[in-house]
Amino acid sequence: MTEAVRRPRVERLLAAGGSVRVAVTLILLLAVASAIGAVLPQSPTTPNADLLYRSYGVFWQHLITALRLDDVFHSSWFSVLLGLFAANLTLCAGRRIGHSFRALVRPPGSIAISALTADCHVPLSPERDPVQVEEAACRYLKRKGYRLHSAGGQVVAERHRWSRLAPDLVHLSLLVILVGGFLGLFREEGSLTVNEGQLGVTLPLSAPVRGGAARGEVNLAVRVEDFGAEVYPGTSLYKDYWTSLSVIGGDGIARAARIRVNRPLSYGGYSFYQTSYGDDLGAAEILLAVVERGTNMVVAAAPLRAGESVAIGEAGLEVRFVRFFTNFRLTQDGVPINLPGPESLNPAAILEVSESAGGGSLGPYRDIAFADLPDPHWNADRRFSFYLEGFFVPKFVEVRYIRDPGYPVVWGGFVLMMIGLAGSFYLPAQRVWVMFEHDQGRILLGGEAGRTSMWQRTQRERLARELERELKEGS
Amino acid sequence: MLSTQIVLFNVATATYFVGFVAYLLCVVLRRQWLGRLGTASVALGFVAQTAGLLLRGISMKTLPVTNTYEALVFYGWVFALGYLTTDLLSRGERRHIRVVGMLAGLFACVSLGLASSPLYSAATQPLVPALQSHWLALHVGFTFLGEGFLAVAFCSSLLFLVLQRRGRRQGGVADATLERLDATSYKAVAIGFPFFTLGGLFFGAIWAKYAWGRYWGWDPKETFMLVTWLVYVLYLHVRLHHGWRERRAAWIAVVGFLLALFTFAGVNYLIRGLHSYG
Repeated sequence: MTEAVRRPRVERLLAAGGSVRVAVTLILLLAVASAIGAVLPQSPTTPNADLLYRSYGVFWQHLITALRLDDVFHSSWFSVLLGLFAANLTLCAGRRIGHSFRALVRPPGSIAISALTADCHVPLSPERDPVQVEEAACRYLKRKGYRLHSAGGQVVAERHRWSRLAPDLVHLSLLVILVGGFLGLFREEGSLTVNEGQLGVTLPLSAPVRGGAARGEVNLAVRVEDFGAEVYPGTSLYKDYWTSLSVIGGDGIARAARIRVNRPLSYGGYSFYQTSYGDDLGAAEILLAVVERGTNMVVAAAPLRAGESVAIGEAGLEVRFVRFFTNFRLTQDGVPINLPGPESLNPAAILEVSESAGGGSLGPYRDIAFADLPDPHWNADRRFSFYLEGFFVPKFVEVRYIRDPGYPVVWGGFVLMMIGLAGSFYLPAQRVWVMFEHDQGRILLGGEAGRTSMWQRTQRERLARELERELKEGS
Repeated sequence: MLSTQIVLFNVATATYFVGFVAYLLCVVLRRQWLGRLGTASVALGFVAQTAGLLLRGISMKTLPVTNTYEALVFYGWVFALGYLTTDLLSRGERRHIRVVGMLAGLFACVSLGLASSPLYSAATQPLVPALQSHWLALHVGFTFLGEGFLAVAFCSSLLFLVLQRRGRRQGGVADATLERLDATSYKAVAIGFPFFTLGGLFFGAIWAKYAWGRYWGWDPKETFMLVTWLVYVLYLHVRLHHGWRERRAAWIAVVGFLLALFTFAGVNYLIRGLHSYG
């Protein structure tokens, strides 16, 4: 096949690929795909999403997992859709911008008289001096911000001419935002969890890129000097969380600041965010009392850390401290949960207990110890109950750090898009053709405006009315 | 101060209702003075509501959009603002779009009525740490402002579809009215879309970056915001490039606003995400 034959086909393909029809189809597909991804629970953010899909039945589960509808936004088909959209935008913007630029730089010509007569007109008094009328009309148009040219016996008045490029700017901005999003794939992020016992410890940053692959050494470390929370006076509602953070570079402390929710610290391209604050239940310590039922005598007391076990010889028990709650609640299904808050309103510890009787071992069984309830009667048939004589739960804070090379690009895209949208919709390019027909006693006004313009015939009629008033006042 | 605000909001609800009835009678009886009465009532309600919102905003030291009650009150306010602005920009065509005022007055009245129902408490509540940011006012304020105009486009398009259908059956509705409704719908989208984009997508993304460290996370609310935005992009493209005017464009404007409503009210209740603040 010769080059001459092949070229039109390539051109046709490019024209079709950049067409509005393809753009509309892709926009529709992206909208539908995004809606599916928002409605269906997505695996990365919904724990046990696979169990949920299993409950839909085998067919739907297979369909959802085969089409990756359980993780739409990370699926390859969604990436392909975005890629096609970017290609369509590139082709469309490339084709459009030439036309827009030519329309911008090329001086406008005259338009057909029929187009002018079909539009609106301003009546002229026969006594008025034609030169004076033309001068007054041109002065008025200039005052309204129009630039005037002459073309074939007509006056062409133009304003906001740079807005001809506004729709192109919007298309370009979308491309810029997509590029920024693509650069975001190379972002580095991680988080540090520090409890009260780790204050002042220098922790090096390890920054895996998205997806978990390690990315070399990061020559930065952080140190949490202090952290805390504020509550609204007289309530148990948190007002703010804060962390005093030092970022340490090769030469010592490079930046120190108190970060809060919505107020991160930035250094070296990294931003550090106050993410979580609460009770570090995994580091809880308790003083457990073992009480003999019937006598209500404390037979033993033992200190325990979360996850530890202790043998209580006096009672023939081995007790493991499974989990601590500062504010113990049971759900309707009987599942124990912890309601977070600044106060420990119902402290409790779940225990795993084994009884040794006659050289053998019985159990293990689950029991619970409260601080405010000596015997909850959970295992009322057992000989011993448990009680919290004391407890200590350190607070923890989580600091998240991110370095995303795409941010500035995306922000740039936002600015471009707003300029483009403002130009397209609020300051659209306008052209008015004015023709003075003194012998007919009228001025003809015809217009053309960008397709995004609200400035339509009614506005031109208003301009005609205002011009008529202006000429009357000037006479 | 709370009781003053509630009185002002009740005055606004009542005057919006009067506006709705006046517009309805104007359409049925074809008396233009009733249309003017409708506009005056909606304007009066808007002034009362603005005063109430200002009082609440001053007492809270932020834009009062921090819970569902305030969001509903603010939503009613932007409906009225969107309609009154469109009315102001439609000099010489007002009689054609008074039918839009009927729906806008009704929506503003329903939104305020719902806010004052026992479902929501009017008491101000302390802000959770995540909402203590000036981006809250910018994000929600501009999004709602955009949606106020998109609501006008919705009303125009819905009435266009209803009147066109009735006109076909009875051979009666003037073409000029349908044409103005179609133009009003486009005009409202053209004004509201940039605000919606700025508030919903851009200010939302910037705030998300400051609060969560990322500007986009496919959270259900932000995703539905994107879906709504894409539907309006579709509206503009098919209208401007494919020449789809009137009926098909009207359907897209209707679907777009229903999606905006779902993004505002439905997502929080039906889909769990990061935007559930109560």
